[in-house]
Amino acid sequence: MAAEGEGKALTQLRRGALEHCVLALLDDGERYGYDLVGELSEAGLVAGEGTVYPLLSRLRKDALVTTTWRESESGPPRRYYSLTPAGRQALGDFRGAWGEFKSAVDRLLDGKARS
Amino acid sequence: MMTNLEHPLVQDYLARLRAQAAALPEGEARELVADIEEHFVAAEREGGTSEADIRTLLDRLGTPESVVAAAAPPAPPAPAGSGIPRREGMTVMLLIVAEVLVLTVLLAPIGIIVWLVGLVMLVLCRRWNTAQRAQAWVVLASGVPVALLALAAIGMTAYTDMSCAPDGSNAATCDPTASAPPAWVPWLVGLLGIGFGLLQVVIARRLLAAVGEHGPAPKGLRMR
Repeated sequence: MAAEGEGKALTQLRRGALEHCVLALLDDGERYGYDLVGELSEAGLVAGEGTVYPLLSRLRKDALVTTTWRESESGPPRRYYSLTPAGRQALGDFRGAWGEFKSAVDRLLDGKARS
Repeated sequence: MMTNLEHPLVQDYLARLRAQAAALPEGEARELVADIEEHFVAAEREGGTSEADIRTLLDRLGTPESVVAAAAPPAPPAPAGSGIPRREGMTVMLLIVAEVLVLTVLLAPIGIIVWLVGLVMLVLCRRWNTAQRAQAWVVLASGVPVALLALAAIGMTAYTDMSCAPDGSNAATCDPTASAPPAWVPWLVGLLGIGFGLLQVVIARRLLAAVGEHGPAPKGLRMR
């Protein structure tokens, strides 16, 4: 079961490292969309902050994250994102797959560097 | 003080975003625009509202094109049977066929039935956005009522002409100058009809193009 999840996560890895970074940012608790976007941008993971919103909307549709509207002291209500159990599972799978993937790539790169 | 959303640069950005997002499914487009609007509102609280701040903000967002491109799913939605686009194509065809049938006068009753089916299909069309649906209603669905009105106008003139024809006993009322409108009314109706028809062709093509290659391409466009 876990192996299957990791295999699936590995396929996702190639195209979707970013969405798992979003999930990782939500690991410690819910986040305001604007902060989430800003942090991804500052980490240098996205070219344009605007491109994160479609990704968030896709994650929500896939039921990996869920959103809650909260009143704010100033201005209109804010939309907060948090992980669903499925999102937490996907993040766990990705962590496992990422570790393996990273060491495989490292081994290859190191080997090339030495020869 | 001007809010972020009121800033001309932001307004311009949102207008471009909306235009680009028109290519997305309606709900997705609306959500994307709402998300970006919220981003602007949030940025106002966290950052500044000077011209330079706004420019930085827009710079960091990326172009509307790149934002919408990110919303398009990795594998473009190629509905296997292309069932939905076929519905849009069918609707356009039914509405136009209905109009032609009504114009033949003899087949008008069939035309009206076809038209009603077309209207039901139009209600069920999901791939067009609000503006496109409005165009379909105003320009295409209106075809049959417009055709009926045109026929009525021409019919009335013809009737007045005929009332002049019999044995000439009431020659006084048949004076062509007395029945003033008739002579040019059919021409006017004809010209308006041609104009309306051309508009319909343009709108129909645009609506079919909007749902992609699957719709029955207008004849002549792809023949060669």
